[in-house]
Amino acid sequence: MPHISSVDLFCKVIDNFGDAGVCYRLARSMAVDRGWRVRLFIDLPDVLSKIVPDPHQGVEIICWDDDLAYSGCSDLVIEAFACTLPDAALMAMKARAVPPVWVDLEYLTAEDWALSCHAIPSTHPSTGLKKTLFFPGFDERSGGVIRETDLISRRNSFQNDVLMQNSWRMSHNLPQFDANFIDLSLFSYKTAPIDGLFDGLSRLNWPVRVFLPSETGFGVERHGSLELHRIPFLPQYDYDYLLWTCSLNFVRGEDSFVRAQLAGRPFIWNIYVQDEDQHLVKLEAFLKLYGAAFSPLTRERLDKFHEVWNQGGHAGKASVKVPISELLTELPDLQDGACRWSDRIEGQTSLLDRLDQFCRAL
Amino acid sequence: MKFAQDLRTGNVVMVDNSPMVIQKAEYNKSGRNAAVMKFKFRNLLTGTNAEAVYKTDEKFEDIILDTKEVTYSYESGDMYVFMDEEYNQYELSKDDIEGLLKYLEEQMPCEVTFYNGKPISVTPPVKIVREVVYTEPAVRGDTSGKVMKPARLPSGYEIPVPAFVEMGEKIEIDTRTDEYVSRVK
Repeated sequence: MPHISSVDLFCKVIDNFGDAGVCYRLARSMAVDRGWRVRLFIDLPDVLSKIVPDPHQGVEIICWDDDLAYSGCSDLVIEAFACTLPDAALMAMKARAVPPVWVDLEYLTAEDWALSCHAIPSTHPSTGLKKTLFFPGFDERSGGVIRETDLISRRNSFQNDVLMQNSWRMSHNLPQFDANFIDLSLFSYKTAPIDGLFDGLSRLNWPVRVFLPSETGFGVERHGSLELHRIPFLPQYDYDYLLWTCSLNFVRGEDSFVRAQLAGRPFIWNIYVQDEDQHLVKLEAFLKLYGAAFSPLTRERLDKFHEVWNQGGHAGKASVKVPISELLTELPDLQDGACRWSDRIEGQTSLLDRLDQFCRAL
Repeated sequence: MKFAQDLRTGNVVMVDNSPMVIQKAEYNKSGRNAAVMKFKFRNLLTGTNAEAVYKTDEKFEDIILDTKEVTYSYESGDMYVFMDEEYNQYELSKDDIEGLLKYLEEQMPCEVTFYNGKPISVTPPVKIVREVVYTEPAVRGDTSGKVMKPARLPSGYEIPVPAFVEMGEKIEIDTRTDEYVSRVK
């Protein structure tokens, strides 16, 4: 296969910001880190404005609606999350002198079956084109995770410099770093037992600050040991800094989940709920892998916390006791394990490296 | 036309103008990912094997070939012998019936498919009943069916079953998805 120099990425927003966020992050990385010409076809471009105020940086954003006039098929066509390409794109792909590489970018998972289905070029039954399902993951045999070339060096500089952290905090109206406080960031689905978490945090023997990005803007509330800071919703770029400056991050879905891992800080994952509790299998697969980075006691508490955080919604939020005190007791070990896990991910090639390598090997 | 999720071992479909027999079909689904089918194909024109992965809603042109009701008789070396009502015997290789091996038992009813007069594959019944020869003890109180554990079948193959299933019980299995369906009293 010839060298890739242009990419068309198709994305349909199902809900929230995750699908658009992952697609833009990958599109930007392809444009900035590889210098490829990237077109992002997205059905709800407005969603991007919340997470990427300046959504350009080498990425051409195109509204994917019924009037889409598709032409000039690129070297690589990415169908994100099985969004089903428009007929016009399929026709252009078929008509191209050299067929494009066609990849269906799937959701991230640590499950073994995904490894066995990853990156197997398969002849599409109706077009005859080769289509490949690409599964991001945490194993060398998977599709990896999105990681920009400069991410780790930027993170290390920031985390090793309290002045830089305070400067960033000040520019976002956040309190300065204070070793007396444990700082947490909180981004979760409504199904998580948030009231139970706040209740637990308000009864601790040490002060805690929670930074809660929300659409309602600024506000500070105090409840016992808890200081709750509501802050405006952060764009992708700034959200990394929030993760990097906190001691524990609550994240959700896929994009913030990956960024929290790359932050090298402990995190709690609120997984996207699926019918028949399919998501719990996916959660278990991840925790099995991630838990190996921790001592047995910390691992047990981490598993227990994830169980409560992801199943609390079933029992009703108010009645759920969230074991945050037990978890925070293990914070030093959580931090060590988070670093080990982050080192493991950083030691692997990025999703983009693997995608590039896959295309070249065809 | 058939959806990928409806295809199973023994079916023959057209892929890029070639008739392909499905030697193994695996269903996978998790979280938000699209449900996918992983197939092991054999090209009936060239004899070459290939693996492929498709979303379950991908459509395929299926080919109707001659079939015959048979039962599994015995294993002979690398070949597996099936017999019809007239005592005609049909030999198939391990590769031809790879997806079936986990359920194969003597006298098991199946369907042999022929291409140009030659047996090329064997399709099991959609639902079969097998005994659980080993599984961890049942979890008392959990009758939701959501908590799963592995259960070993007589062939050694393991499938996930609800936590309440006990060793020695018989279970119904959907051979298209290799999934537990219910307990059989």
